[in-house]
Amino acid sequence: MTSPTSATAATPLLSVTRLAKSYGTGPDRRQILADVEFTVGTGDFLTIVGPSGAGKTTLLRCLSGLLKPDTGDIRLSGTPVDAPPAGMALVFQDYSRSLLPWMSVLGNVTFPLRSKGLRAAERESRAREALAAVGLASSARLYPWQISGGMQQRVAIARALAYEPQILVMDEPFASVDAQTRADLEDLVLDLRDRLGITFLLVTHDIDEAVYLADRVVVLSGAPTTVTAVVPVDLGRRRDQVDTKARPEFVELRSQVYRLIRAASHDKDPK
Amino acid sequence: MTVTGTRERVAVPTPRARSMPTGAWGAKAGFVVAVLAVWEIGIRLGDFGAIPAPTVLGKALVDLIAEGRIAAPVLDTLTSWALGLLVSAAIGVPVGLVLGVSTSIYRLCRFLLDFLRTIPSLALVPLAVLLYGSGLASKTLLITFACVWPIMLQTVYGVRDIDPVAEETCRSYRIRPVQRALFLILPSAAGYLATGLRIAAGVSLLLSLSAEIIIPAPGIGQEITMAQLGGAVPTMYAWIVAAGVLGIVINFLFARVERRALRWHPSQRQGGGR
Amino acid sequence: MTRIMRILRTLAWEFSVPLVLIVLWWMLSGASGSLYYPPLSRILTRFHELWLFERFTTDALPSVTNLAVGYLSAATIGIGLGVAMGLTPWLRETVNPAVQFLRALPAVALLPLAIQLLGIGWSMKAGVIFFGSLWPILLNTIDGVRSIDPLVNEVARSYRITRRQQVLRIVLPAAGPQIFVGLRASLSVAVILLLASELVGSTSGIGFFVLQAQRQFNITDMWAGMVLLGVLGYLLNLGLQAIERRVLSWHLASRRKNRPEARSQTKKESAVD
Repeated sequence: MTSPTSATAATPLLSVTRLAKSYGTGPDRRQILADVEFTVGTGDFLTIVGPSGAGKTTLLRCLSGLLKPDTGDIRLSGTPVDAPPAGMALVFQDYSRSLLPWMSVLGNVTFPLRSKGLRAAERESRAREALAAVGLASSARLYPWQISGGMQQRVAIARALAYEPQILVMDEPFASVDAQTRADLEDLVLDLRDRLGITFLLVTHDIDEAVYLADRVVVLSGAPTTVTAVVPVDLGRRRDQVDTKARPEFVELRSQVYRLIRAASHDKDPK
Repeated sequence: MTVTGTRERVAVPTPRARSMPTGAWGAKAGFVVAVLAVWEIGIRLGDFGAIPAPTVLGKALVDLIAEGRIAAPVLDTLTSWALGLLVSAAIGVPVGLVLGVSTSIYRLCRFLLDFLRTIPSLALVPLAVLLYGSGLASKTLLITFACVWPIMLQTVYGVRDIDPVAEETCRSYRIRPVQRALFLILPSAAGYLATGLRIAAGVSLLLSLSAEIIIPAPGIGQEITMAQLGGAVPTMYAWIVAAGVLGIVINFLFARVERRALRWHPSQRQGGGR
Repeated sequence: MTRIMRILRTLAWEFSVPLVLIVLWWMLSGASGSLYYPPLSRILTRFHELWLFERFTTDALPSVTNLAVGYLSAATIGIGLGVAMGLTPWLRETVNPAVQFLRALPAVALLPLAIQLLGIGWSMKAGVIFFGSLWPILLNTIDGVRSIDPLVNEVARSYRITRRQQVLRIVLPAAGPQIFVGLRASLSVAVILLLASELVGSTSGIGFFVLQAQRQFNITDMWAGMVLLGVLGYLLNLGLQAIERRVLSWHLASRRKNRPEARSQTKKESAVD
């Protein structure tokens, strides 16, 4: 299980090989992930889409080390992932529960840095930098529940940034905010990627979002899940909510991904 | 919604609760005055057995205070109250932590705990008197047997009720065990523990007084009994009022502590987004 | 088959500690000649002789009756008054200070007063039990009624549902979980007060029996009475739990489905006074 990456020249930052996972035993056994494989290179922006129930969250929990897969191999910079790795930061969908309500915004951002063994001054300066990067420099002393949902998700992103991960993994991060906030947050993420050169892996069920953000879109089938296709997105680095989405290439890519998802869920879901 | 089900905490944003005008204080005071007035007039007009008029009762209370007779029994009651609560917390919190963390130990002890905590503590009065006489030790034993359960169970609930998303967040950021205990488990459980302490504080007072009346042991309870036996009816009422005031003060203080521990909790938030 | 095995294993696990303790008690007390801790075998023999059913009607039954009268009347009045106060802000706000004082007043403090007024008969005991168990039920009912989502009441109004129907079909079920919190809290207070009233002023009842046994140094009888009290307290709680499970089956099911609800609920449950 050591040489599946011979095709690419350099080792990818994150590689997922023959990943399988099922829940339950006996007749109740449900295969969620059947055979999932993909890689993420340094500096990549990869999005993962799939029909609902495709085990996107299970996949994410496996590759972030929160859940043990049945079989398969996950490597971050060549090291196998069997516990949450230090080089990865996670942004959850449910920001209101992932931020700790008894800590201020600043406290929430600095808190993981303690376990990294940083000194107080260093922690605070890093956190303030991250908060400034997401446009929340002035809200550091507020509590999460005193700010809007979009701002809370910005805090969660700042917490991930301050952690200085090699790869930032997001699980449907904008699914619980309104459309306008969602567009703003999408552009914030693209901007962060441009300025800081972070590698992103983002799971979503929104095809528009998947195409708009990505360099490559990984399309999943319905459960038991496999990778249906990896669609490269050649829309250039600079993207714009109105102009990019009006381009014929964008429209074409969107329909292509949509057709893939529809075909995949029809194949797998005859009942 | 009022998550903790306490009256003190009903400053929760239900529209009706908020619309109460400031004149409400007038209505409240008016009601109390009206009750006292009807009571006083009623007693003056007709004979209601042993019930004294509020003025007579008030005078008895003032006499108790003026003669300095109130301090010693109140101190006796408070000593056993505090000691019982302290012992209960010293046992309840550590055991609760263990039971909260380990599901298998909890299940091992569940039946036993369910049984023990439904045994009325006062059933132990004869045994306590037999073993420890009528002093502080007996009272403390009875109080502890009643107060240890709410504290222990609240601690279990608190540890159990940590949000799984918060827990995973901590795991994914590789938070160390000490940090996790300090910043996740403790704040999460503190509110529950405070609620448990508030409940236990009330139970502790109830049992202090019960023990004093039943055993009897020195304290407010014994004073009530002695006043009744001696036919000093207004004095008996004065002691009852003193017990009530003590109950209110204790409840008020513990409710405040609880509110502080739950500052971040949705039921406590004022202003700001939801 | 595997399911039966699993249930058996769970039972074995949960009952192992109590069983071990009982066996330990049996062996240790059997060996010791201590005056205060008679052998468990003798306690159980006495328990059988006394309560099954020679003295059951003379000592246990009056206790249970007093408890039932006091507790049930407190439940009826507490829930009725609680709904009224929950739905009527001015009433609630006006009466509030008096309620706050009365509920903070430890009910045992009223025992001597109740004896003075009502003597030492059943009415005194039922009265004290009533007074003590009224407040948790009343306050939790008010709380439950008040925390009903305003939207629910607006739906009721928009469908022009009558007041009576609204109370029966909407207010009571919605406040149900919180009302049961009060009922449970009150039950333990009621048992404490039953014992307190029997220990202080009584010529019958289990509490009286236990105290008398102790004063006459009938230690085995005292233990037999204490065991009965423990069993009684446990059975009462079990009974209330069974009723709750029936009445609130919808609530328990939704709770299992919805974790955030469960979070607030555990807290609520424990927030009894």
